[in-house]
Amino acid sequence: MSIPWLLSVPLCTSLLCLIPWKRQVTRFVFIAGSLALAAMAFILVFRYGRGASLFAFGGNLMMDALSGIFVILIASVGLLASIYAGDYLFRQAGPNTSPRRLRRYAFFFHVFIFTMLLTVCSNNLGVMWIAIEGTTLASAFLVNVDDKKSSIEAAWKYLILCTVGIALALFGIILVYYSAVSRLAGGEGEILLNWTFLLAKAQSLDPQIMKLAFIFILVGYGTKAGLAPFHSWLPDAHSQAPGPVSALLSGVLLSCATFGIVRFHILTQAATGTSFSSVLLIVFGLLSVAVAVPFILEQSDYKRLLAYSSVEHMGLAAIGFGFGGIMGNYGALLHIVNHAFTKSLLFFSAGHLLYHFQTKHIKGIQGIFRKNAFLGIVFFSGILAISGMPPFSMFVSEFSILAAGFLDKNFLVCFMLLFFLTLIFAGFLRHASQMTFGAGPQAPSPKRSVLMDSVLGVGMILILMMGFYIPAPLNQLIQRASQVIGGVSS
Amino acid sequence: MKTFYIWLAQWLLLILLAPLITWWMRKIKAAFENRVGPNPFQVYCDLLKLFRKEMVISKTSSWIFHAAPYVLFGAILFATTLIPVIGSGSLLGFVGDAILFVYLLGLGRFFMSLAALDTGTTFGGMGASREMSLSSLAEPALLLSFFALGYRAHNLSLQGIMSQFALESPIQVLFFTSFAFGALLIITFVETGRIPVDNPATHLELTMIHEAMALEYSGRYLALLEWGHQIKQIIFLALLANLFFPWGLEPSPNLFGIAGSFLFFMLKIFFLALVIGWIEAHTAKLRLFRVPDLLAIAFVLAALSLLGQLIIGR
Amino acid sequence: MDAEFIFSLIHFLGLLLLIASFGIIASPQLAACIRFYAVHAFLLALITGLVGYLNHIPHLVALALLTLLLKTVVIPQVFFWIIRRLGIRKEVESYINIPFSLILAVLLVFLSFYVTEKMRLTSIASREFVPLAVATLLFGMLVMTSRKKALTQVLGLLLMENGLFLMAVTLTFGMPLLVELGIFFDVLVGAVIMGILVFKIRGAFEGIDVDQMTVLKG
Repeated sequence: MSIPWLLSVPLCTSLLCLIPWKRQVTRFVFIAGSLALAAMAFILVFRYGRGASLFAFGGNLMMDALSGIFVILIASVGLLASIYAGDYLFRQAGPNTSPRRLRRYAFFFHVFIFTMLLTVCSNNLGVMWIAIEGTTLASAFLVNVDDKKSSIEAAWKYLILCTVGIALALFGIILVYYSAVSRLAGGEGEILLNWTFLLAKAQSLDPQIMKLAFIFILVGYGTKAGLAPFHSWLPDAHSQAPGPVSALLSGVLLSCATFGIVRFHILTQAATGTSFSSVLLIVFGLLSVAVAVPFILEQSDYKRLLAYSSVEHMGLAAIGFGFGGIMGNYGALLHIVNHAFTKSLLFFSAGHLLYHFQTKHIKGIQGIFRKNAFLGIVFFSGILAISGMPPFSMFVSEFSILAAGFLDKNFLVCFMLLFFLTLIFAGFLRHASQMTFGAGPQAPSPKRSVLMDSVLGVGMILILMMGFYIPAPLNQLIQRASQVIGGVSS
Repeated sequence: MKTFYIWLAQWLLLILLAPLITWWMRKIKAAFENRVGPNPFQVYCDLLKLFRKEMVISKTSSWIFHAAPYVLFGAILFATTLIPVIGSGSLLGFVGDAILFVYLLGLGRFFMSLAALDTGTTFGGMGASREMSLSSLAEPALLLSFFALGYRAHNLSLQGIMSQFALESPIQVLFFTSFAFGALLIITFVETGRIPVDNPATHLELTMIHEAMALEYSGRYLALLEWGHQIKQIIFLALLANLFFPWGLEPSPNLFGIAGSFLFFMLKIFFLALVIGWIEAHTAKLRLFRVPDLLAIAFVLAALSLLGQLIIGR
Repeated sequence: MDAEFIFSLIHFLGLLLLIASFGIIASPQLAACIRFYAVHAFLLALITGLVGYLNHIPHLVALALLTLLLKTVVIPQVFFWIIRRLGIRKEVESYINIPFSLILAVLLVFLSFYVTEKMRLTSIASREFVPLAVATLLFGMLVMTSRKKALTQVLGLLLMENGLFLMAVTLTFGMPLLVELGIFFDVLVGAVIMGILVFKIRGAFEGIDVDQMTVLKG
């Protein structure tokens, strides 16, 4: 059991999905692949990856505690999304989705998961870049599933903006490599781009060039992570993609890009010995939260609402990493985990809403609770959770991040953050209560799907449980990962 | 002392020979069009005639209208002192005079445009606006190509550039400065109002630039403007000839050497004028809106010749 | 061939590369743009090959051959095929007119010279190429932001990628082979996917002008 095996699962599944089987068989393979991946990921991370980091392919691939968290995230959100998609697209899409298109969808879905896994498992920074670019290419087709005008536009913007951003990140990586080539003896070729090697020799890297490189990486991967002001593709892509894909994009893809930034953040901290990268992370994070506020307050499309909330939460995570220290890093990582589950739950319920009400407009939806009590409860508690209300998991992580900020004596940042979060909470509550309560038009309810409802149920249990109790292995994993990030306390 | 007289002589020569070059250009064009063309003294006679004629001046014009021809002519005479012709120095040349040269031309142009606006006719305003919009592109390009040449010669005076280039092998000079040559050639067409940009022989309102500005002038003022324009033309030809083909300068200080150097200079200029005339005869006039494209090319060429030196090194 | 000669030849090719980049910005027709891109990539391949030959780095020569095959033959041909299929005859439409974008481009080159001077990147292969690579990167961005057609945006992206490649080759003698191959693969797949999307844009928007894409806001 090792990393290559883990990576081969989604790759094989994607190829199997291409074979022109019957609809039901493709669907079975589609879901079974994610199930196998999730099982392997859990075994690999919690059993084999307990002690030290795992390596493969001559050190090009690596899994330490930090990667472990993201592997778990990708596998579990991927599993939920594929089960949901298995019903959402394969059964309900109706006769107008051709089997060919479904196969293509299934193929790209698993390729997307593969590229994300490769991103978090790569030790070689160049390979990580290739994988992140791969996520863009694979998911562009997932954003544009129905060939509508708006989804083509979203896919095009997504592709172009992210590729430009990623190109800038490559510039940063070239700079890092240059710094390694010119300063580090005793290494050659690929090893000079290996994160572990660079970290061990970080003291001798050129601090000026590493700072410059970090700026480029932050802009590049930040585009992908949806940090303001490079976030403009994000609401378009998230609102046009089908529900399960939005869940993957928002819950995991953004986190993977943040993962890339964090890797360089660690390197830059070690190389420069200053809080240069932390300050940048805090600034961009705060900007992202601030930018999200007006768009959340005045939003007419509930999927875009959720998308802007992703901008906000990625900003929060960046701020957490910026505050640093065990507390800040722990909070930020926990926040990423909680956000992944909560946001995917919300996007799944958005898929439900679209299915029940046939509209993406907030104004077009009233009385979810009356129509479908289960959906109403899930949606409303999801909204409460995403805006950081106490019984749910997001509260814990947001609290840790803020506590880290106060410990760090970053009072100004913390107060601004609290102010923005309050505004966002108000905006969410206004939209959600209008959608959930009240008497809506009582059209006949369409047939409910047990699988899709059960995905919602599982997500609901997860976000409630994580609010009270974080499973011990996961807790250990996050703690070890936050030690990996460590860093200078600013 | 002797060199001073040479410098003074070359200044006077440029001024006096300017109409001759105009005749030569007309003759070339005529030859390409199978016409006989004017005799060599025609241009001088025209000038003389204009000087003797009475002036008709609009009542609404102010002092600017009267001052502009003198300012323009004076600026050009001043600019002429900076050009080495047969010696390797010039009358008033100093380090950095290339910049002064550009701005002397700019000063003349500025007053010309003011005067064109002064009378309040539509043609004048039109011409002034066209002239200004073109020169806003031409001036940086001219400056940039001087910078490019100066960067290579380590010297930003016209005489310095020439004497530096005279020391190097011609092929090297041409290789490194060919882009700047292209840029200056295009700018020459613009500044002297030749055909792809402007047509000096027509008064067609849709196209004219320079003629539109001089439309209100007559008599002595017109003669000054015309003469100034002709001197400007010979300056640019002399620049092209001496900057890029800096051979035969610095004659031996006897009469024979000076005469030989002068004849060689005239040969270069006549040949260049032949090339320009040929280009003029074989191209159509550009639409006014396409002229900025041409100037942008000049700008890029000038930039490239500077960048080329940065990239290739010396 | 002696090293001195190759060294100056590389620099001369660098100048030609810059001229080719200017060509992409200056050409009013899409087909001409693509030809200039092919020339650009060809010069890039030559530079890469010569740098590899000069410094005895075999994998750079391999990369040069790959560049030659992929960027001077395959990608331009794909572009021409798309143009033929879509029947694009019109000129390149631009938000900024050509003279102005040329002047902007000149300023960008000077900017990149200035910035790289500040960065003190003393490149291994040659100092003069770092600003050139940065300038190519900026040119790519200029093309992407100033042009209206979806296809020219892709071209700008590829130009940016060329700049990055030049940067890697001259700054560090290329990234490790594994990484460079991966980047090549990504570029190829990216170009193909963008090509397919261009077809879809054509189908949905009646034309490939990106300024018609205004459905999504807020």
